[in-house]
Amino acid sequence: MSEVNAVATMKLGKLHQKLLNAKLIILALFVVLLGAAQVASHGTFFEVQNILNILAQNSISGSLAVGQTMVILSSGIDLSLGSVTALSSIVAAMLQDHGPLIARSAALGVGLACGLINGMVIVFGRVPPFIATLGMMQAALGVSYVVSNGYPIYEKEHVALAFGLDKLGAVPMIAVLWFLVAVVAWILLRFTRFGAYVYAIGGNERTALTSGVSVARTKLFIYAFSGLCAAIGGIISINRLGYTQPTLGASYTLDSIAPVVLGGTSLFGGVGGVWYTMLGVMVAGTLNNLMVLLGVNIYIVQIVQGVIILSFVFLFIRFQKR
Amino acid sequence: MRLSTTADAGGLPSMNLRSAAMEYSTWIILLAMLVVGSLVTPLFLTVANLVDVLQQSAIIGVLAIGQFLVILTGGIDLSVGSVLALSAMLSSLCIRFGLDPLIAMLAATVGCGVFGAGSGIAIAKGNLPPFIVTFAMMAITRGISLTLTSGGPVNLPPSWFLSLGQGLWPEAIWAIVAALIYVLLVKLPIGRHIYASGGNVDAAQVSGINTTKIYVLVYVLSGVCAAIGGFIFAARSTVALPTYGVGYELQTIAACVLGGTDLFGGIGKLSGVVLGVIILTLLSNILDLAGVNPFWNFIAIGLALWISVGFRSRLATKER
Repeated sequence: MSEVNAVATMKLGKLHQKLLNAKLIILALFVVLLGAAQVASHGTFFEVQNILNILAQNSISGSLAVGQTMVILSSGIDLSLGSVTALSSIVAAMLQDHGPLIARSAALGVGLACGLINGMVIVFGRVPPFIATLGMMQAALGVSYVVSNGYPIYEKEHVALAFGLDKLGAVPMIAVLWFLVAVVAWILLRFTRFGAYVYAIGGNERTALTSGVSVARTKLFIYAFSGLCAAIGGIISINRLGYTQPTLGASYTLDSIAPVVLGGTSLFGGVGGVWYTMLGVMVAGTLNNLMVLLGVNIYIVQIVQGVIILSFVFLFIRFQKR
Repeated sequence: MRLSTTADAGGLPSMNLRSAAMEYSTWIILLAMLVVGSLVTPLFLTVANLVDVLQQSAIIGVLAIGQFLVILTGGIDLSVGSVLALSAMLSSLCIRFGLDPLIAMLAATVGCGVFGAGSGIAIAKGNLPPFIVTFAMMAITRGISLTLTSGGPVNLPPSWFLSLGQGLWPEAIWAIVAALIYVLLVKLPIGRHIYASGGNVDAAQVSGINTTKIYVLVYVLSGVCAAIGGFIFAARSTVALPTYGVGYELQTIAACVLGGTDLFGGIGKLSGVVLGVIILTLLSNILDLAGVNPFWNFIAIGLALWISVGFRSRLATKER
């Protein structure tokens, strides 16, 4: 099963082959990683609670990574996801007295609006995505600070995520939500015309345009979707942490890009998909968890993360050269 | 159609108003800021205030020059903030251990240059995307800085090193770096090679330019600039912290973009970058003098980026 859709496959038969190779490599590496984790942690890694912890810990960056995947597939990038997450969570927290429905709808609305603004600046302002979303990152951060006056906002009374439940059986609800987001994104990308357009734009925007793809509308949707993902991340973060503050988003942006890259989606667009990214999130999450279990100095963790990313990307590029 | 601008695009453009606006857009923005600032308060247009602005711009200014060189080749350097911290830590530790400040700075510069070379080689020879490589390098150098003292500070003993952060020294250092890079870009043939490597890589290679060497060079220079920025920072604060420079990379990119540099490479002026940094600092300075909540600064930067780039982008495309 390949994420590359029919149109792209026709044009890039060989790439199809390479994609399968790349996917196998990631899977192989992941299995090795899991094995190493189990051994190194003396069996504590595969305990159910630990696995569930990993899922919960990565729900936020995972949700953001789904949105980021869609953006990167169109050969764009969204640097604003972290700030939009913080902003939407702050908005939700400020409105918590009006009940979860209003608070969360407002958060989603904020995410959607920020995403749409990004899209409009990119499409109508003809500003490159890097700069447009960089601007949004600053603007959303500023608005977060202004609205909250720089202070954290606490959840007065914990509200369950959905249907009065924080867990579905033993599985954290936030992980379920994250997977739902991934499934929705996957369906959009794989089974709809919109999805085909996304890959087409990422592959070659000029060609896509002349082939009749409504590039403008697609791009608006892409960034609106990633904004929505960021808002969902914001809702999850309140549920998980019990509070929110403007600086929350600081690391989330880059945390949303790393899994996409680790999963094999090309930064140049047109290649990759949601499940690749999900694998990337699991790899990153497993690595982190492993290092925590091993008691590795947290500062060394950063160095290791950097080295891992470099190695993975190097491997992918190597394979795409064949 | 793109305006191809080299570092010394001298001579008056005999083009129409639109092209002139593009050419001098950064100066126009600066002028607008000066006007707005003077309207806000009479305190703005004073020597004391403007010198203060220059002093505050110096660190980002030096970093932005390195970033500019990298962007000219179509790349990006996300590690400048972390390398700044590393340089501050390394040099301060060396000074603490009794080394002469000059030796300490040399050692730190070489260290940072090595990391830059690492990035450059990975990008040039490994064909890895600059975004990812420098992102990873950012994590690695930040991790090293933190590991050196387990996150703790390094207090600097009194020495002439501390004067680098005082008075007019930061601006002077910035000016010297700018002058040196200006010479590199305009007077030396390697400058043209740098522009060529970003504008059209294939054409550059066909003309015999060793693009690999150029790529490595710009990342090394960016590392060196970040190192110098680290010295100023440490000297000014009299203490070195591994958490310095967080977010600086984005500020340098914003400055380059505001100054008219094209993120795809090959287009941009050093003067634009210097102006871009000053514009950014003026933004926060004006807001500060106007008594506005400092948080609005972020929103202002975001809006400035959108407006300036959108404006230029639409101007450029209308030229067809």
